This record gives sequence, structure tokens and C-alpha cells, in this order.
Amino acid sequence: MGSEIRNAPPLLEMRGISKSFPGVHALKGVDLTVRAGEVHCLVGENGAGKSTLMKVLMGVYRPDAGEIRLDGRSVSIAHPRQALDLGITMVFQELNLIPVLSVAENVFLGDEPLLVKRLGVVDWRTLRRRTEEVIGRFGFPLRPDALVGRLSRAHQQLAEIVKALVVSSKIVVMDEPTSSLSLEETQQLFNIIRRLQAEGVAVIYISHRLEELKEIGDRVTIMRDGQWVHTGDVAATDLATMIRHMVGRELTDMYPKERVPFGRERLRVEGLTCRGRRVRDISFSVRAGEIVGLAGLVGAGRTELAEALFGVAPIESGKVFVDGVERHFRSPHDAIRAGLGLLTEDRKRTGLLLNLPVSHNVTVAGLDRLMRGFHLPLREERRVAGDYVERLNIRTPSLRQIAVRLSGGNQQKVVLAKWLYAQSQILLFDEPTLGIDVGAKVEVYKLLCELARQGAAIVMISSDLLELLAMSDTLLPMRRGELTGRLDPRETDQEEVLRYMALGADPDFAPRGSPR
Amino acid sequence: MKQLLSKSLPFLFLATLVLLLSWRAPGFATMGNIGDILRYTAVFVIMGVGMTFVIVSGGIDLSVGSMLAFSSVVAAWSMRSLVPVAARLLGCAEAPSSLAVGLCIALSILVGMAIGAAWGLLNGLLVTRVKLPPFIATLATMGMARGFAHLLARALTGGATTIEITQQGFKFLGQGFVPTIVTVVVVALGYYMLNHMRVGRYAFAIGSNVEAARYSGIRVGRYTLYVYLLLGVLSGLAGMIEASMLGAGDSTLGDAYELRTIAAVVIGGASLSGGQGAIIGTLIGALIMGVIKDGCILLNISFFWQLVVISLLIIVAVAFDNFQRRRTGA
Repeated sequence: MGSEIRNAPPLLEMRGISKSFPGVHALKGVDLTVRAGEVHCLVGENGAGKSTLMKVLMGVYRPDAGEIRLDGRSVSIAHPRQALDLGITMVFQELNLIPVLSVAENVFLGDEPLLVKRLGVVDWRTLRRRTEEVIGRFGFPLRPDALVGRLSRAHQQLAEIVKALVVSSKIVVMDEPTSSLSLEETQQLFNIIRRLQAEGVAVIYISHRLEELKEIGDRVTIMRDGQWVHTGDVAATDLATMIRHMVGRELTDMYPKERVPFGRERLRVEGLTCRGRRVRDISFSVRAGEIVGLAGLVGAGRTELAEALFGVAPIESGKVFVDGVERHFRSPHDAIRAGLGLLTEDRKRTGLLLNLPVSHNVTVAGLDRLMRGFHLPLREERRVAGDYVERLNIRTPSLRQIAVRLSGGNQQKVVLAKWLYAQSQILLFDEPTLGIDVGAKVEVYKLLCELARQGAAIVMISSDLLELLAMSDTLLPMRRGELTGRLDPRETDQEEVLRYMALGADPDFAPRGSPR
Repeated sequence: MKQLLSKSLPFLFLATLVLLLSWRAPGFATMGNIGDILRYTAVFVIMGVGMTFVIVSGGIDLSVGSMLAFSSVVAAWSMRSLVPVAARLLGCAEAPSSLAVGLCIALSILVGMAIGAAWGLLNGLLVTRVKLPPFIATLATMGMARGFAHLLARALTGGATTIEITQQGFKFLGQGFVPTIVTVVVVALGYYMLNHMRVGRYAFAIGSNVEAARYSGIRVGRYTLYVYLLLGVLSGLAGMIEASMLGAGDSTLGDAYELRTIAAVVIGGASLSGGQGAIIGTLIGALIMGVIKDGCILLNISFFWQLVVISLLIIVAVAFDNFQRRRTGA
């Protein structure tokens, strides 16, 4: 389909778009041309300006300069409502759904079909029917009546997509749509994107997972520091080139793994079970300097395992030993005292004090170290936080900046700094590179290695198999709350790990309880 | 720079108000009048300091006015019954020594504050253990404290709401610049606790993101309890000052004080969604309300206009704060 698309007239042209906020020049004369029926990937590091550019397109921000042309006509988009009317919709990375409403109600939220216009009486039948139509057309595994709050994150993502599809869109923007999807669900999403493409819809696809672009993208536009850097065919752009354009320099080694000799055993888990939380009979151990990778599909119980170890949820049975001593953690407070740290998967919900300064966020878990009796020395705190900002290369205008205003990668580094300052020796990292850019990923990897070298014991949970294979010393695949094997990352490959994750220990053996 | 400006806005407003009133309102800029404003404002600042902690931690306490009344009644009762008992014990029933009376007064003040503390503890336990929303928990305890205060006052007086305090020594707490001095001490301690002590830092963390606070090892329940306890103690103290000014414990005291206290905190820049607030802001917020009240009296403006103006002020303060936040994208 390449040549047809290439010759098609542009559906959307954004030219010379500039936008600044107080103190930040977010976009500097960015160009973006999208043709009907293409999947146009938009990539760049966090803070490169992708989201700002899309918010300009959606009418959330007014650009300071530049022009938007749709079908050759110059348009001005002052409000998200106008963008919708022009056939531009967006699937947000952070879900914008109301949990207590049904799928159908969410889909039509704010745009309900009305029976009696003036009175605002909702035409429930039409609402349901139209939702069903879209669900049926794309074969989504969703029920229109299902309460959104009861759905898994992946299914919520699908509902969000239905919401975009129900208005007849010409352009659909997807911001990291796969970040919470399993491999299988990602494939389903790709099928949906292909269907959209066939109907002549243009998809602007934002993702940090560069391998995905190869699979789904037609063309790619790369941004860096608020500027346009490169546009080209995906097929003609190799990953190394993409990364070079994004980072602005050559990344010689994506995975800077160092192998260090292991020390004594620091964490041992025996028969850990929390039935309510999908964790069954887990046993493993981690030595000083070792990185143990936990692989598994979404819902395999990896996060639940980490939370059980960290005292978030009560343990039903089983034992946890830290440095050879059995411990019972009733709260994160106990776990942190014993030297554990948990970098959570959802940094906005459980990682960051969003409206507090960077400095508060860095010291919050290690405040004991900072306190002089009952006195909290603020100058000392600023010095400490400043050290970490420098050491981890956290980009922030000042230590007083509140955490929510940092980009994803920098937020993640702030959370890392928190656990470094708390001097945690047993670190549980749950998706440490989720939603952060390539440059920041490499920095996280380097930090993992440095921690291991200093004798920390690390458990790393990740959905990125390449990352797990490259960074861990021992790989534990997990499936439905149980460990299904123990692999040496140097002697295995993605395929084998996937088999363990999806089917269990013995691939020939039928999985217990066949899939629904 | 802009941030600095928006943060000092309540102060600028207060300064403008004071200048305007000094110019237009006869008798405003006199020592006597300023002393009146400070005395009147003292209880709101004292409770406002505690309320700042509670609001910063993401909570709210509606029971402060009732706690004030309850503690004033209990303290008055304690003084009435303690002084004769102490005198008898010391064997000078006819003319109790001033030392004995002084001790009894001090003890009664402590009893009044202890009532506040106990009530704050109850609020804290309802919020952290029973897990009631703070609004509901303190709405209920507000009614309870008021009810107990009335019941106790009636039982002691045979139907009235006022228990007179005859000890002259007690009155010093509400006279001259004593309330102001107490206020200054409370503000200074509150400022230090909020910014330079663990309890203040943790209050901010809990109010900002309670889940992240828990995952960072903060014992959320314990520190939430502390802030309600602190506010209880300070409400008790405010009750003592109010009783001292009145020369009596009274179960009708402190009516609608919770709204004024919360208004002071909010005008001072705190956010009811938590994680934001400042002691100095609360001080200024309370002073703004005190000055408006005083100005209205001097200019002969109806009491009801005061209500309107202060309510408008709350709307403006909160709307402005929201506007700021939206513009900076926080």
C-alpha cells in the first residue's frame, strides 16, 4: 500500500507550529504531514513535545504561531469540541473513563443521543446500539453494559478506543496505546489499526516501543527538544538511526549490562501465597549483586508478588527472609526499615507526591537519615536533593519544581532517587522503564548495574522481554500467580520465555483450566 | 517572581485593607482598636494553625467550634469544683492561698485543653481507624460536643448555658496582649512544626498523595491522628482564651467558628484537596477577616454585609487559586 499512500494528497498538514509556556519553549516551528490511510508514528524522548503537538491538534492548546491545514483548508482549532467536529479524535494514554458508568455510557459521555432535545432525555437504545455497532465491527471482546470500573486496564483501553471510533474520525491519535496491553492484546489493537487504515483513516501513533513501529507504522516523524528532526518511511529507517535522531547522539550500547560476582543471599522467599491477589506458592532467592527478572503477561501476578513482599497486602502463607532472618512486614514502613524499596509500576498513583517539590520527593522515604533529632534541616535537604538531581541527570528547572510538572523519564528518576536516598538494599523494580524514553531507559539500566555492583539485590519486573533478557542474571517466568521455571538469560531467547509465560513449565502439557 | 506575587497576594490585600481603613475609618488606627482586632482574631489564628495541618493533610475538621465550647464548660466546671476541694485539702478553707488558687486555675486550663485533646483524638480515630470521611466524622462529633456541652452546663446550672468563673486570676488569659502573645507563640511553633518537623512534612505528603505516602513508608494513620490531636489541643486552648475573655464557660460559644477558621486557612492559600497550605497564610487570612469585621463596625455597616463580604472573599481566593493552577498546568 506504500506507493498509494505516498502519492495521496496530505490529509493533515501542521506547519511551523510554535508554542511556549511560562519559562519553556515547548514547540519550535514543528512540521507534521499526515496522509489519509497511513499510520504515522510520532516518536521522541519524553519532553520532546509530542504530547504538546497533539494537544495543539486537539484544540487543548492554542499555538503561538503556525498553521493547521485539513484537506488543504486552513483551520483553526480552538476547542476539543471543534477537533471532534473536524473528525480528529484522540485515545489518551491516561484513561479518561468514568469507572461507575458502563462502556456505552462512557463512549457517548458528553455527546449522548437525545430523544427530546430540549429536555436532555437520553436515547438509551440508540446509545447502546451504536456502541454495539462499533464493538461488533471491530470484534472487540467488550459488552456495552459492562461497568468500566470492573474491566481490566487493557479492556478499559479498548473502551477508550471505541470512544474514538464511534464518531466518524478521519484522524485518530493514539498516545502510547499499548503501554498497558499484553502481547496478545497488542496484536488485536494492531488488527484494529489495520482496519481503520483500510477505511482511509489516518492514525497518528505515539509510542516508546520502537519495535512496534516497525510492525505497524508507515512513516515516522521524529522530534527532539520541541523541534522537528526527521520524517521518513519506517521501512527505510533502522532502529539505530531512529534512536540517534531521538537522542541526538550515538547510543553505543542500549543495555550496558555488567556481570558482577554475587555475594551472600539477601532475600529468600519460601512458598509465598496470597490467594486473593493471584500469588501462589512462590519460592526464590536473590543474592547481593544479582538482578532477578520476573517475566509474565499482564495479570500474571508479578505486581501482586512485589506488593506482598513489600507489606502492602497481607501474606496468607509462606516465609520471607531478609539477610537470613525471617521477617513479617505489616506495612511498607516495616519493609523499608528492613532495607526494601519498591519502585511501583504506577508512579503517579503510588510513586510521587505530585504537587510537592522534587526535593520533598527525593527525601520522603529516607527522612530518618535527614532528621537531626526532631529537626528537619531544609538546607541539608536541598543539598541532598541537588546531589541526586545532578547524579541522575534529572532535568528540572529547580528543586522547588513540583513533581507532576516533570516529564515521565525525569519523574521516574525522582522515584529512583527516593530509593537511593533511603539506602534500600533489596530493590523491587516494577516496570522501571515503563513510558520513559530511550535515553532515560539507558540511564536506568546503568543505575541498576551500579546498584548491583554496590551489593544491592534487585528484582526487576518488566513486560519488555528484550530488556529482561539483557539486564537480568536470572529469569523467572510467571504465569497465573505461579513461577513456571528458572531460566538463564544467556541461554534462552524470547520465544522460550514467552512459552513459559503463556503455557507454563512443560509446553506439551495442557494448561490447567483452559482459557475462557 | 510570578509565584512570589501570587503567594503574597493575601498579604497585599490585608495591607491595602489596613491602609484604606486607616484613611477612611475614624478610630481604626488606634492602639485600642488594633488591640481589639488582635484579641478578637486570636482564637481564629490559634485554631487556624491546627486547621492548617488538618487541611494540608487532606482532611477537614468541622468540630472545632463545639470543641471550644465544650472545653470552656468543662474548664469552668473544673474551676468551680477544684478550687474549694484544693482549698480544703490545703486546710485553709476560709481564705485559700493565692498559690493554691493559681495551681487550680492552671490545672483547669490543662483540663480544658485535655478535653480538646481527647476530642481531637476521637476525630483522628474515627478518620484513621473507622475510616470515616473527615467531613462526616467531624460533622458528627461537632454535634456530639455541642450536645455534651449543653448537657453539662444545664446539669451544673439547672438549665442555663453559662457557668460563671469567679476566679479573677483566670481572666489574665483574655486581657490586654496576653491572647496576642499566646497567638504569636502558637504561630511560631506551628510554623516550625509544619516546615521543620516530621509531622508537618508527613502532613504535606499524606495530603498530596496518600498512596504514595504509604508506599514511601509513612505511617499514614499515626500521622493523620497527630494532626487531629494537635487541632483538638489548640481548640481547647482557644476555648480557654474565649472563656477568659467572657469570664465564663458557655455552651453556646464558638458557633460557626469552624467556618471562619476554615475560611481563614483557605483565604491564606491552602487547598482543600490537600498538600498545600501555610501557617503565615492562615494568620493573614484570619487577620483579613478580623479587619473586615472591625472596619464594618467602625463604618457602621451592617453585620450581615460582613458575612457577604467574607463569603465573597472565600470565593475569590479559591477561584484565583484554581485559575493559577490551571494556567500553570499543575
